[in-house]
Amino acid sequence: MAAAEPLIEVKGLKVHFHTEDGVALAVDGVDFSIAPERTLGVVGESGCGKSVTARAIMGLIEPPGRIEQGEILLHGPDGIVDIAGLDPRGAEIRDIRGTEIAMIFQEPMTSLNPVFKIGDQIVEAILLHENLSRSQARERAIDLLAAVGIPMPRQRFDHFPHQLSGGMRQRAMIAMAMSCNPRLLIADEPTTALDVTIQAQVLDLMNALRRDFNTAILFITHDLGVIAGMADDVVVMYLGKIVESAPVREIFRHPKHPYTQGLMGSIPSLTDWGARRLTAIEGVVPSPFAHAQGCGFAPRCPHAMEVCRRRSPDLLKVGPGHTAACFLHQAAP
Amino acid sequence: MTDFFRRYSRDKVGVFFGALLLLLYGVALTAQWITPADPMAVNLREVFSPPSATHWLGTDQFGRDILSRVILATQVTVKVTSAACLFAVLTGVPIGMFVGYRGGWIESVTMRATDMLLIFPIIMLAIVVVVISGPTETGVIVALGLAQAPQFVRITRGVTLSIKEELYVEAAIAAGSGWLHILARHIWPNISTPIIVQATLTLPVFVLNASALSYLGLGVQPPTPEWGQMLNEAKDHLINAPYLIVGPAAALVIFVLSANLVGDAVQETLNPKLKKRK
Repeated sequence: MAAAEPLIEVKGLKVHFHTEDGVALAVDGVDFSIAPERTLGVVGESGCGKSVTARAIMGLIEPPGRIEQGEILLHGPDGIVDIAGLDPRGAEIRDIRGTEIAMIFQEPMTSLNPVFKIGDQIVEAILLHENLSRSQARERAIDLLAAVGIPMPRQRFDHFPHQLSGGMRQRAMIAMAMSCNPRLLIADEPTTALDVTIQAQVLDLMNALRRDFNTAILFITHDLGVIAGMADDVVVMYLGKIVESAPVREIFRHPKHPYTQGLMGSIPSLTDWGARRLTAIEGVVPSPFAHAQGCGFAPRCPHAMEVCRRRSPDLLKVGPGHTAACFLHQAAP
Repeated sequence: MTDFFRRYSRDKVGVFFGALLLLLYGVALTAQWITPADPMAVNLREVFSPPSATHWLGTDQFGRDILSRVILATQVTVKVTSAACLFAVLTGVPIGMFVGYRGGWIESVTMRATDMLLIFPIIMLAIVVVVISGPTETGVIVALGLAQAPQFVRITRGVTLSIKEELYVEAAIAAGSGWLHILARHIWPNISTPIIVQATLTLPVFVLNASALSYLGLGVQPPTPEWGQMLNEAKDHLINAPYLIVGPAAALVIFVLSANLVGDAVQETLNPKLKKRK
């Protein structure tokens, strides 16, 4: 785990959405940190606050959402900046976006502007942050297109997004994100919209880029298989909270939290096919508007105890670098 | 762009009236040189002469050549309405884009203000502005422009709202773009089409309103001719010189009809969602 100084630390982050139906606790007290050049995988079902956490780090929380509490500390050469405290429209956060932290999105189909050539979009991203001439930026963009494995980058430079396939577009997005050498890349389900073969290529590409660019990655997905191949450390989120956090090997070998175990149980295995049926986690994720007492997973948990419905468990150490928020692994209070 | 003209050229009605509209603009641009007689020259020996070989559309109560006056009025109208249309677009579109993108209380205040302006009939607003600014050419331009600007604010805000939710806008923010850059590079190129269509469709409204103002005596002042004002003079002599009304009325009808049909054709060409009726 992170022995050296972390690149980014998220401490007690709470993001609430104040809507007419009530307050949604999208992110409800989340702590994690990412060391330089490491990959942190964030797993969880839809609506558990993964994407909101990512957007909070980018300063992209829009009303009615609001960062209620917590710090997002970005450790830079010039000291530590608390992103949570910056004006989301201000100049400081704009200087961080793209240069320090870049982001790629789930939908490669819609995250490129349809009316501009992809090359020009990458050039724009470069010119936003660097003092280069247009032709220098163009050369850099072509190099980037080549680096992300787009064949014939010089020709592709002049193509419009609709002329590219989904995988190519995601590569172009990655090229754009890497254009200013960010220290942290946030990937919000970057492969969810792609075919499985393309997924594998894009994941290989991201792994290669991580080495070449020395970038840390915050990788958000609901696909545990992808996490196994990408992440160094894993954080499992449920209902706006972290329920388990561990190095990737540890979590796959010894999942402690019943929710993580449930997720593992719902992956088909290649070796024992036919031998067992896939198990599904009963029920659905409760509404984030319902602020029930106790552990958020208790209504769906096969091991739920009486204490689970009264109190919410804290994230405590259950192994080397391994924490879980579950009373099963804690001395009864 | 070439694609636009290729598709537009398939619309026969649009091509015909587009040519007619271009002809009117051509007349307007060259008015000084193509008038058969001096449109201002008073000739009291030739008052109320009916259409003839020398005066194709006759002469008015001061013996001025009607055809020449209609031609000069075309120039005045084209100038005033184009400037007013530009004025409405240049004020309405930036405001609409800004408040639509920015949101919050600025948006609420602006939209309620435009709602209030939209309550009044356009001609009423224009009259108020002209009364304040005086019936000059600039006054009419500002009046018509301001009266139509709320429409452009509304339409622009509407399309901006839908575009700003696009992922590529969020991606641009995440890449560190400022709001001005996003408005200019990401929002505007994606909303320009409906705004161009709206501008073309509103052009005839500008023409009608300009004529209405001058009919009421609030437009361009005599002796400079304007269609509405010529119609107003003609109605006083409807019995003894009915031919006076033909020139300005025909010009007005042709302009408004052409502009309307061209607007429709442009809309059909630019909007892929409109099914071809043919």
